[in-house]
Amino acid sequence: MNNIFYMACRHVRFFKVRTLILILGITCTITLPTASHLIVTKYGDSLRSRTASTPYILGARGNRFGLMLKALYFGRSQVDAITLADVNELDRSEWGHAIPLHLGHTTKGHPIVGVPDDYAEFRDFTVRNGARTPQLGGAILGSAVADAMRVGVGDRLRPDIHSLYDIGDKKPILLRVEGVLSPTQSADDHAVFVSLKTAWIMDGVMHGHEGDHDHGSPSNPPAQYQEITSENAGMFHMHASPADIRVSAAIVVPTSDKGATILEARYDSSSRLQLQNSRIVVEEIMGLVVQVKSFFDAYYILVLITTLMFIGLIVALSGQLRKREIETMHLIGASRRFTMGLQAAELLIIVAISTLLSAGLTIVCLSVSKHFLGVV
Amino acid sequence: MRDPNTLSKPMIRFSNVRFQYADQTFGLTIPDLELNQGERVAIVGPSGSGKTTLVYLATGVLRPESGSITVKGSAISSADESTRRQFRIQNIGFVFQEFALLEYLTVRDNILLAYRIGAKATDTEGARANELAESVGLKARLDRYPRHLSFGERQRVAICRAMATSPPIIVADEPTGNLDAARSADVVRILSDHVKASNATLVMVTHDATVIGGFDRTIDVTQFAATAGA
Repeated sequence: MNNIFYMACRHVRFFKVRTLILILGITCTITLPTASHLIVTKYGDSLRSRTASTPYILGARGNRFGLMLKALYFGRSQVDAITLADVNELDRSEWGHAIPLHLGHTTKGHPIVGVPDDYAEFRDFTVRNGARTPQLGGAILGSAVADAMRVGVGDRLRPDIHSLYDIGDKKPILLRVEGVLSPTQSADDHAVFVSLKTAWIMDGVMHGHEGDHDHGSPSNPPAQYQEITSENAGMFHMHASPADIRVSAAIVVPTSDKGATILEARYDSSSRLQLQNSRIVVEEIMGLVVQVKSFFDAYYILVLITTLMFIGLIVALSGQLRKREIETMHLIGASRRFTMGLQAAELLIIVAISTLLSAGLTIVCLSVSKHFLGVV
Repeated sequence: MRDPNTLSKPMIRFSNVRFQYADQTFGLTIPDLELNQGERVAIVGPSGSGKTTLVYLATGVLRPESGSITVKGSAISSADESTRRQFRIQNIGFVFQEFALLEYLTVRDNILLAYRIGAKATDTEGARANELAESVGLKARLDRYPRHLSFGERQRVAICRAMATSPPIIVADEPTGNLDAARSADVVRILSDHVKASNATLVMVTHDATVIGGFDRTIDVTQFAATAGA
């Protein structure tokens, strides 16, 4: 057996191009279906796990898939905003508790999420270090963001400029890192949390400047603060009413099944707002994903059959080319079991290398998919 | 010619052998034939006359329909496939036309091929490869591949491979088939030197008249050819 593997290794090493072609073919054949299956499964698990803790989402009427991806996973889908007054109205009712979310800003591509103080408690966050709830001008980082940006408590973050045409506008306000969360294996790991007021300051709805509330004249405006500190925090103020203040969506936790039914009925008839059951919408999304996956599965089966035929052809042609070699070995005294074992061992080595490569590539695909799909 | 006293011990003996290919197109009938230890025998005859068939019978690759073939006193014609294979590995060294070296094995591994495919392993096989390679001036080339060797070097590797297990019989199947006269003479000389040194029997299939003079005996295989259906 040792001699068979020794000779097989020599053969595989000597015919590098043939070996490489076979390895690449088999690796792709294994990796594509395996990675896609694992990614879809992981994507589904990730989507579903978030719905368990986030029963309903309130948002502007329109694309429910976009609303769900934005509110649950801080995705980049474009959805219309709702007002803080809409959220407060639901929260004041006896049927549910609403947690507003403000999205739209980013720092180095990571979403900045404006949340109220009770968001951390709602998600049951624990901290790796620093604070759990952001203060005005402060930011709490998800663990993955902290690791990716290599920043910690006391560092400053500069939000991304949204429009290239804003280069003449004032600089975005600096955010002070106040805490880093422990990993949650959810979209929260990839987000930067700020208070709702901080988010509105970034929107320009709130601002702070020298001279208290005196805005000076258009030709002589007061200097805007670039960072919120304990000294200037009191200088920030708002010129809008809650009816004008925008949020992206709100997480809604009904107080009871009855509350859920009543809220569903109430918003079902609203022309401006929608209340979506996250589990139902996510299952719809997964239904679409599974449909697409079925198409790809059929495609992969065709690829598999084609690849197996190619491998069969290469092995058969190789057998023809090696007829003299095999005959020589038989004449010297090799058994048929030896020569067949030699060819089988070569294939086994190639398949083993391909499987290892495929495992590595699948891990890379899963890792890359986190960034592309925005889920963990 | 060699001293007849050293040639007295029969190495291969055919008795009333009859062989026919399955398609009945060709056969051999060999009433009585002996090849002796240390003897250098040339098997001659035109293409398709049964030269290779004769040596395949003598080495147990083919089995006769009837009669017996004994090699080194063992009745190889009645042995099973596995026994015949083991017998070949240990007792017969083959030199093939165009040498049939395995291009993916180094010179060392080509020389030791019999050990790789089933010859009884020894502690000295590595030393044996060195010794053989040194005897033909190839020691520096042991870790090279056949494609890196000249024609003459490949030919010497093939001969070393046949000698690796120190077999008592060397069978060369038209090793000079595609060679010019000088190279053919060279192959015969190297083979002869080795069999002389080890007192082995050399059976060489050839239709090259220029090399026959270097052999102790010439057997024309046409005398054994059986008419189809006879």
